[in-house]
Amino acid sequence: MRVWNRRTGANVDDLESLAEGHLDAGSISAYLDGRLGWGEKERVQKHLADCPECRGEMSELVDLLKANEGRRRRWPLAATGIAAAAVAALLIGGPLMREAADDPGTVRTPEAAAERESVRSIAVISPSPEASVAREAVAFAWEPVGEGTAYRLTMTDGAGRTVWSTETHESAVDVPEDLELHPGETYLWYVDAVLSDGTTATTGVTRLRLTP
Amino acid sequence: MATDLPRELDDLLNARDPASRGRSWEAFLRHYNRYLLGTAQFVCRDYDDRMDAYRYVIEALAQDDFRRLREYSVRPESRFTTWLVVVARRLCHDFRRSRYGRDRVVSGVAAREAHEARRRLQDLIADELRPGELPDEEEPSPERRFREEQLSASLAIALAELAPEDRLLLKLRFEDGLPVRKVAEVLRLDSEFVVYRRQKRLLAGLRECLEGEGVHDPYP
Repeated sequence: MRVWNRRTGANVDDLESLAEGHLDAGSISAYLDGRLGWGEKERVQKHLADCPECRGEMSELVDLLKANEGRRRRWPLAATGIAAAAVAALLIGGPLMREAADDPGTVRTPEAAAERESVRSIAVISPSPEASVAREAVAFAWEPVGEGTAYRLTMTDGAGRTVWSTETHESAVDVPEDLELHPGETYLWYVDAVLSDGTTATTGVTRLRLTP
Repeated sequence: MATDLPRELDDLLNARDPASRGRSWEAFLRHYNRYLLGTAQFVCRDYDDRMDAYRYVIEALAQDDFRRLREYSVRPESRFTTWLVVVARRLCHDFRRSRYGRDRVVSGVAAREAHEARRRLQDLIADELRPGELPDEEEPSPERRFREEQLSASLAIALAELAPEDRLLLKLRFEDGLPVRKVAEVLRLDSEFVVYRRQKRLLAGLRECLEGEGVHDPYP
């Protein structure tokens, strides 16, 4: 059994791997899937009967798995695909960056993202992916994709941390003046849209370079 | 019961060079993204928290040459998606703990423990076994207090002798206060009627056990 020691506090980065005294992920998932032999199942149930923390975890997992199974996509398809692409690009930049070599400003083109996720693409008007932009000139604009469309613009720093996010029904938005952006740094941004018919669209993840 | 590795996982763990590893990782994320995002969404209500937790999970899975994912490959006893959700959920809670500290995250656990301290299982089940209305006494008599302690002690012994699954059923039902349908799901039973039947049988068995110990009536 590995540790999942909630009582030790958050003094390590790798808590998931510390699970002493509690059920490990393999036992829990095999139990949930009904794949444990009789003796092993009894061992797990004995532990659960004596351990309120693991019972709480099991109970939450039952709900979580049900939610996953029956989940209707409450997030735009584009957001899920882009989030994965952006994070993968940050973690293992090589392949994704090479894929986008023809367009140095775009981590993933909207067409590529749309093709993979079967969503419509939104054309970026500004800032141009190739351009470097002064901090005071940063403003986002994109081609509208229909009446009554709700857009969410997300801007992250180079490490993928969200620095600003906003929702609008317009196809352009200014960056708040008090948003702290650092000259010379590169940011990522993307717009996801939910159209009035329930379908989704995206710009894909685009780089924004600020002039030094 | 071992199971074959999913193709996306197999490709990732067996990728021989950084380029193919990157491609495999991207394919893996594309395939399993909805489980990871769904888990982050379930654990974190706030949008930014959710996305940060999601990123944390992905980083943790990629850490040390996909060490966690390799752990599954050593002992693939469950469906991979189930295992992935279990691990992702724990990582999301790790993330919340690192962001907000232990107290806020474990408040639910602490509340449960406090609840547990207030009302032990045997007390709760004793309530179920008590016939009729309880006399409304502000100050229980010494004799009544003695009978209650006798009941609790006998019940604790009887509970300890139950099969783990039966004891777990009673804990889920009485100590955690879960509805019967949820108890059935946690126990992986086919229907809630099985829980009802088993609960009835268990309570009858406990009553019989107490009578065998000479506890016929909890109150004088």
